[in-house]
This record gives sequence, C-alpha cells and structure tokens, in this order.
Amino acid sequence: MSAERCLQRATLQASDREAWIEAFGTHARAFADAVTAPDAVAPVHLAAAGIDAERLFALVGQDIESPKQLHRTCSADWRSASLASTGTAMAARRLSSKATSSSTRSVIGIRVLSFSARAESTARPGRVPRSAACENHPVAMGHIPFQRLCRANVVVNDLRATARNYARMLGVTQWAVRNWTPDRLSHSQAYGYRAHFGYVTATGASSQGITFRLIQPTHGFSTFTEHLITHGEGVHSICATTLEPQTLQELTALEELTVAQATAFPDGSTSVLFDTRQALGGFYVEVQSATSLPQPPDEVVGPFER
Amino acid sequence: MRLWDLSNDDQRPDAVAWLTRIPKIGHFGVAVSSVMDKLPGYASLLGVERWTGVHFRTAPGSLERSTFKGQKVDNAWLLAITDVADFGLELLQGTREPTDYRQTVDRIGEGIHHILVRRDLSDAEGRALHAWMESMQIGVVMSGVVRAGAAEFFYFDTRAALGGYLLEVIVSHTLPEPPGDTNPVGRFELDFTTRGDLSR
Repeated sequence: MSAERCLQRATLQASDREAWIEAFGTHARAFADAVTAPDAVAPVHLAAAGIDAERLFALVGQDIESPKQLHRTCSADWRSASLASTGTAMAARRLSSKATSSSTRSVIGIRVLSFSARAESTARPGRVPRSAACENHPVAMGHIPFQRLCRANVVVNDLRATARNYARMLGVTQWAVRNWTPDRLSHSQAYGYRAHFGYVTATGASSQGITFRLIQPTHGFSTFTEHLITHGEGVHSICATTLEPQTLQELTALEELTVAQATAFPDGSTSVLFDTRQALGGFYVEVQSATSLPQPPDEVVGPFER
Repeated sequence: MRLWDLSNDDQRPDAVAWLTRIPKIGHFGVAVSSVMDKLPGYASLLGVERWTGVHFRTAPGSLERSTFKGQKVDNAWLLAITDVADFGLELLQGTREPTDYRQTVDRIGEGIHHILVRRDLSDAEGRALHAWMESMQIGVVMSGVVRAGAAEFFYFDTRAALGGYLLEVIVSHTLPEPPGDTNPVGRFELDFTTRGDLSR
C-alpha cells in the first residue's frame, strides 16, 4: 500500500472521530484553527484550550519540523483547563468539516503516521518515514493484522457437554470457566447499540497450545445469541490479534471496519468483534486489547463429576 | 473463574493419541457462496492478498473417488487457500452438487465449515481414526482422493460434538509407484498485490 493511500485512509478515519474533539473548551475555535493552520496560532491559545484529546496535539508536535511549532505543542498544558462549554459541539462540527481540507488532511495524517515512531527509531528524532509507518501500524495499514492464532471462539448450547467432548476427542482437559454476567461487563455494545448481555466462557488449550473458547450466551442479545439463533452452534469468530488499547481504539475508527460487538472486562481489557461476516464468509474477527492485570481464579474445582 | 479438570473424559485408543498433540490448526475451511467475491474483502480487511486457487472436479489428477454422506458422487468445488500468521484459510464454493459447502451455505449461511487438524496421516492412522470415530457414531461427510492418488481427505461430522464444525484430516497414501506431478489440475495463483492497468 502506498504512503498516499495510507494517508487517505487515516484522513477518512480521523474525520469521523468527533469523539476525540468533543471535549474542547472555550478556546475550541483556536484549537480548530491550530489544527488546520498551526502556524497561525500563538502558543498561548493552545495552552489555554485545555485539550483532552491530547493525542492529536502531541503527535502533531512530533512530526512538525519547525522548532516553533514543536515548542508550541510541548508547552501546552493539555489537561489543565476546564473543558465543558457550549462551544464544544460547534468546534467539533467545525473541525470535522474542515477535515476535508487539504491542510487538515496533512495534519491528521501526521497524527496517524506518528504512532509508529514509538517502535522505530529514525535518523531525525520525531520524524517517521511514512512508508515505514504504513508497514508497521495496523491503522496506517488500514486492516486488521493477524499476528498469531489466539483462539477459535465457538458458540455452543451446552458448555459442559461440549467441553467434555473436547477432552475426549482432542485431549483438552483443563478449562478456565468465566461467567460474564452483564454487571461484570462494561461499555457493552452489539450491532451498534448499547447492549446488556452476558455469557459464560470456557477456555481450554491442547498440549500444543491450540486454544478453543466455548461460549454459551446467558443474558440479553449479543452476537453470540444471534449466531445460535440463526446458525446454530459453530465457530463464531477467530481471534488472532492483540493490540494496545489505544491502537485498538484507532482500529475501530477505520472506515472499512464495522464493530459488531464490543465489551470491556473488569481487568481493563477489551474485546472488539468486527463484523466481517459479509466480507470474509460468515464469521467475525475478534481483536483484543492487552491487559497488564492477571486474572486469578476464583476457585478451583477438581475432576469433573460424571 | 472456575477451573474444570475433565481428565476423566480424556480417553481414547493409543492409535489416535496424536489427536492430543496436533501441532497447529492447518486451516479454517470457510464455506462461501462465491470465492471470488470474498477475496477482495480479505485483501482490504486483513491484508491477505495472495491465494492459491484450485478447481477440484472429477478428473484424473484433480478429484477421484469423491463421496458425499457415504455415496460416490460426481461433484466439484472451487477453493482458494492461503497462509496467514500461523494458520491457514481455505475458502470453498460448491460448483457441482452435491457438496457440503453448498448445502451448508443453503442451510445456515456462509461460515467456518471445518478445521484441518492433520495433513499427513498414514494409512494405518487413518484406519484407526475411522474406527474410533465410527465407535462414537461420527461419520464421514465428504471424502475424495486428490494429488493423483497421493492423498485423501476426510471430513468427520463432529458438528454435534465440538460445536458446529467438521474435523478434516488428510491421509497420505503410499503408492506402488511415485506419482508424477501431484499438483492438482486446475491450479492457479491469485495475487491481489498487482493492479490491472487499463490506461495502456
């Protein structure tokens, strides 16, 4: 994929991300101007804007060559000011509409490309070759990067009975079982709506590490429920990608991708199921975010009674 | 979280003990209504741009002794296969019925149809697996001889047992004489990294 195409995709994605700019404060107009024409705005305006969407500004600063602009960005205290104001929505609309201008495209494009600067050193600090960024960052690449097979997610009617069959046929004998009641999940959504669903999972791996996650829906209406109703039991999704939370959030904004279901777990990790059914052939692709928190077992149950 | 220890259910004949040591999932087989309609989606959503396509049909060097639910049949299908990360993806479209790909699509829609767990079973291992599966009332949905007799695939109907998909194994047959070219007839390469240029 060419650097230009990456840039175009990043622009499309960024122009839709009004969520990032909805928290602008009373100086939102100055901020919008700064994004579209950084040279025209004095540093003090940026400092006073109190920008919560700090990623945008931080990364503008990383990739702009002018020392003045870099100073402007670094000196801004993004979190210090009160954010809520009546100008928020207006600024968001204004910036979103301006995202179609060439100047905004270039700035927002810099933001996306700059992500890969963390993983790759360059001869010029703070500047990242666009072609290299395209090769290394899933958002810049514009697609879901398969890294290694984490698991196959299989929706079933009877978790225990199916797990027993896996033990008998494939030797998968140890299963970690979690009951995800709706109150244990947060920010749940399905099919574009806030959802209140729950399910039980049993996750087991073979001696060689092939991992299956059996899923039995228990509450509400989720993609798991829908799969059971319309297809019956089956491989609902494949998970082969683990991303940093921020990168996963970026991925969800890609125009090419539709989120079918998302939820956050108590340890802070998230699961996003992209609706790839039509494009790929009847299954979802799950991307999970990394978590640094271990999940200790609540209890250990001995050999299963027959 | 609870931990289930189902070791008591971990019982099988030694001849099929290899099932517990499957090194990796060979591929996910996806039944689709149109292979070619899907490939652009794989390129744009997953960056998967190179595939090998094969049209299996009843012909020497392509598909022989094809069966469907125990009956010898004259069927055909188009497939495209590729490797991604540490596993494979195979898209399958029935082109001459009966095939389980088309029947699956007609019955419940497109979806993951099977998982390949072993591609180099010996004849003896294959016979042992058949016997064990049969003892559990698990039959063969489809089978066929490919690669000029050098290999034979089997789909075991594990849908009820494992959750809606089949297990595939490929038995490597020992031939009295080494086969010549085992590449199937009707094989072609698909490379979506290239772009057609209509300006010339």
